[in-house]
Amino acid sequence: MNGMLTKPLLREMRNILLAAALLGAAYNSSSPLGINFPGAKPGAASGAAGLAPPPALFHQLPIPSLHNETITATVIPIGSGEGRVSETSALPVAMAWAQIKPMLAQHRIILVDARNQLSYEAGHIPGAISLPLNLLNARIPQFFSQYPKDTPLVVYCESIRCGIAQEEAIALAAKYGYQDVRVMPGGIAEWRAAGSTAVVSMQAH
Amino acid sequence: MKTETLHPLRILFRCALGALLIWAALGKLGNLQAFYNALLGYQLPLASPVLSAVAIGLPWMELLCGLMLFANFHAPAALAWTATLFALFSICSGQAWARGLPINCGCLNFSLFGIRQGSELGNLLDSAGFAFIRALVLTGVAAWLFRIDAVHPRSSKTTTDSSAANPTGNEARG
Repeated sequence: MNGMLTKPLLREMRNILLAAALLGAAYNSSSPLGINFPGAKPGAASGAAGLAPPPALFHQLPIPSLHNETITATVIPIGSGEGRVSETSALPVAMAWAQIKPMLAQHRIILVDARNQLSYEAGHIPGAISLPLNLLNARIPQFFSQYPKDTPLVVYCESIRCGIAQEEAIALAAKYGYQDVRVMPGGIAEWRAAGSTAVVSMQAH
Repeated sequence: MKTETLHPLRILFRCALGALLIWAALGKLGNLQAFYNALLGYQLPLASPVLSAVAIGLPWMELLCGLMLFANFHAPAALAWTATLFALFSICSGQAWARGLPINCGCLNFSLFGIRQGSELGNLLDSAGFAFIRALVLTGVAAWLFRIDAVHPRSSKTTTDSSAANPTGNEARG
């Protein structure tokens, strides 16, 4: 195999590497979903951490009902697509970060992060509770003990592409009986695009 | 089997590899942060700046190699990188599988086919074990194509003319 790696070939390989590095750097710097570089984990220096009250106290706070809120959202009927919870007949109500932000600041909702634990620890919206979809069944008893079924929940994941927030919202409403579950379809990408900085956590909530 | 008879197969596999790489790259470029998070899941002993550099550069490597394979432009170099990338990915996914890490491989976006992330099938296709086996197979295919292209560079742009002038050359003798 060594005989096949001739000098011209190695030169071409080096050129591909350089081109990829340059394109990657240019794209990353211009993308709203780009990565902080070098090595700064997202939001290591967060000024927004003050938004997050201690999660253990959430269930003690008076949580007003959101049912009278005027929220612009589209509810689209769904079929019984693969992976979806079949007990439901409609998608959960969608909310934008601009709507969620004041409610979160007033402790009127609980923000639920549906991504896996490592993603949550790498960076999450301040105040969000980690409830990974793949561990939902295992974590739900503990979640029940902290957040009663009338707690207004807003579930998010990575971005509009990920879809697991919707899966989890449907499961929380249909399977586990939560009465007011919504999703933030834009996820952490929408929140990051709004200029916010993530909280890094190495402890599971 | 003589290499001459493999020629259409070579084109088919090369284009398939190219399409796969382009698909994988576009999924990652759509959300670099999600790809970075997926990389964290592998718990590799690499510093954070290295992981960031990989998350930034790897999708473009895949895209460039995919386009070059598809266009048969400097295909041997693209194949060498493709084999290297798949081999490295075999190691990463293999160690994650062996350690039982609950990763989402972050390789391919199956939502194009209506397979949702978090669904049973989506989890299987995104699992470390499946990713490891898939990467091993793809490493083998890329290495095989590279070996053939390096020894019998009939289909690469740089040698097309000489091969056409001597269609019964070394390649025909396999």
